Amino acid sequence: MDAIQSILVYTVVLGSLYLLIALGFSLICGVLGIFNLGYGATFLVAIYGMWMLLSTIGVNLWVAIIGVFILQFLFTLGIIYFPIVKRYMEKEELLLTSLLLVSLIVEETVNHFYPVTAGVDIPTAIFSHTLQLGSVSIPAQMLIVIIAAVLITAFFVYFLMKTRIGFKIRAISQQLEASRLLGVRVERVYALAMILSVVPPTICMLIIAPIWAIEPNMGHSLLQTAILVTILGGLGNLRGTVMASFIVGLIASSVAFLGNPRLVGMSILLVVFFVMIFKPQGIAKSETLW
Amino acid sequence: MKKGSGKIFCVTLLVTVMVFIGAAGESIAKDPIKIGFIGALSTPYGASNKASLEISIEELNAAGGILGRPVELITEDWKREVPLAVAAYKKLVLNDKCLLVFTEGTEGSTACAQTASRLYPSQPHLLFAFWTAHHGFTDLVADDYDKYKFVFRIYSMTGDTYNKELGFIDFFKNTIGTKKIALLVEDIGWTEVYRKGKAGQYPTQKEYFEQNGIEVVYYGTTDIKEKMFLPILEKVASSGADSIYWITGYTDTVTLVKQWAQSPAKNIDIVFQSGACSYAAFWKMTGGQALGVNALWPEIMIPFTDLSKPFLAKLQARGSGLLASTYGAYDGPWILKEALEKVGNANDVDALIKAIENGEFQRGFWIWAFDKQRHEPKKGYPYHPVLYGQFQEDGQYILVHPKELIEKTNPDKKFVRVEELRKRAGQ
Repeated sequence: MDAIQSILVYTVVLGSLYLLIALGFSLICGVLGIFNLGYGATFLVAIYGMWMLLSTIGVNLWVAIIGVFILQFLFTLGIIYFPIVKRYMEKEELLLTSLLLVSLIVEETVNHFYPVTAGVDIPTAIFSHTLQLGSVSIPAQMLIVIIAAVLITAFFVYFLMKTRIGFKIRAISQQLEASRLLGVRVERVYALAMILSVVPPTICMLIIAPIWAIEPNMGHSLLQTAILVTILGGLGNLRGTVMASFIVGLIASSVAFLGNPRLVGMSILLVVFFVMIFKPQGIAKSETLW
Repeated sequence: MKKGSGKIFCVTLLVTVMVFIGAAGESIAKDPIKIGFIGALSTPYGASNKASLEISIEELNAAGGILGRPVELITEDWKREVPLAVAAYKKLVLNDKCLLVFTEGTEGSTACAQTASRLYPSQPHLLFAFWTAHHGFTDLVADDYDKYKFVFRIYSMTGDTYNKELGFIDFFKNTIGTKKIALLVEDIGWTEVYRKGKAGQYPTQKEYFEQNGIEVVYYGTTDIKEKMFLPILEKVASSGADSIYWITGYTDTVTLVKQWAQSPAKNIDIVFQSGACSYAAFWKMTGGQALGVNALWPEIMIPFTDLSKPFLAKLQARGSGLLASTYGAYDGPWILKEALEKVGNANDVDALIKAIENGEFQRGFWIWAFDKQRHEPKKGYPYHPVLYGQFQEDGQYILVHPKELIEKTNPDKKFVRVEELRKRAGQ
């Protein structure tokens, strides 16, 4: 009974976490139809940008939070979208290579200025105690992760389903040329999608920083998580991404509590592999983002 | 030619030849003794080793060098890639004619030792290995002494856990008060002896605890890439363990401690083998959540000798930290000096090896003495100790093992259980 309670709680906790990590990547897959291999750098910009503003420039926490979003938008438009994505949209090899290079350059830069021994610590803990849920205890900060995942997903769904710009985004994801012929300014929508894509990972990193790894190569594992969840959900399908996040959360917590925690990573990879073999379109095939 | 001018010519020639021979002899005597270092220079260990060797050799030259000859350090970067380490080793021995080469890492040092065994007959020299913990490394010397007699380990090793002189079990039973333990081992090559034991030599870590009266109530292996430790900590908390021993080296101990401090296991004392938790900066890296964390080879200034503190000041001035291999890096060149000065010349490396095997050496820290069969340093203070530290209030890193060194380092501080530390901190 305790194990079942643990699995249920951790399915929600881990699912919410994976959702925040993967949502932005999935959006770019759906709207721009590309694999953003520079997505790992987004997490680094969030954490180390925050640290730079707090420790090197010396602004207060709230200014730093606003500042890091501005930094993310500048980074994603000024370094990722205009010089690379827009330019190499039709040249896939160049696009993927350039995005990967940017990610590695950001990692090297961070490692130079703030190596792991620099003691980077983001003081964004809202709670520092544990929360008892039945027989299970979780860091109370994880409750914020769950709330953030629900709110951001709700915002994305509302935005895509109910707003005019949301219609345009969905239209592009469904029929690019038709949308263009009907007067949708595709480049603007792309830029907006790029901006939206960095919001969930930035919020995610700010919330989990007090209980998560902060190191210059942290982007790799987070990018891997985003890719796995997005593939499982069906490339670029946000509904699928939501479902996939909680399925991966369920696999992780079931293997951890009923079996051996050492096998969690392997189990997730195997499930994604078999889905790719037998259902390559993912678990929630759809012609649009939602 | 006149008869007299012939004599003058011969005398002049003789004088010229003697002057040249004398100058050449003096030049040979003043040629530096070269020491090579193959380090992963971008890592904290490599940087600390390099800085320590530089300080050591600067002090050595200021004290007149070795046998009146200056000492020169030549550094190569192996970037933790074995082929680079082997290429650097050949260069240091064959081109630079180094008398002693320091190597890092089990895989790098083993490959270098194998290369060195082929070079030794034509170019005799010594190999000192540090940051090389695998117990099997000195099997090379034990199994084939003639081939590997030039290899010495100047570092601790995985088998130290089982060495009663070092008081590992005493630390758990008597310092912490462990009765039931959760044992976690990162699943990677260097931890093999802890997971599988070694027939006829070492039991597994789990068996060793149980043989010594500590019940292992939870056992697991962990992936070094793991970032989500909460489910494991949840299981540990429900196992009834009063202590956690996590054999780490590459595991992300920063994340692990952040999650431990907010998990149901937060009042269970935790001890790590190594990793970032050994740095004094670990407190800051975890945002102060390392309260109560214990780690092997803590970055604490311990006044072994009068030279310990000035050395640490110099090391910190160079932006490096005091890590497990730093001690050997600083003392190593002085072991060479003392042994060479006993032998009296730098040409007889076999005699030099015997001098190291039979001698005791001390510079900045403990006494180094090596056993003749394996070339392992003798263990147990005043010889090579193991050190455990604990983070206490305000991030003070306190030495909590061994007792003899606590008296020298922080006589008014001792180990405190994490639950008590949290109460004091109002957590």
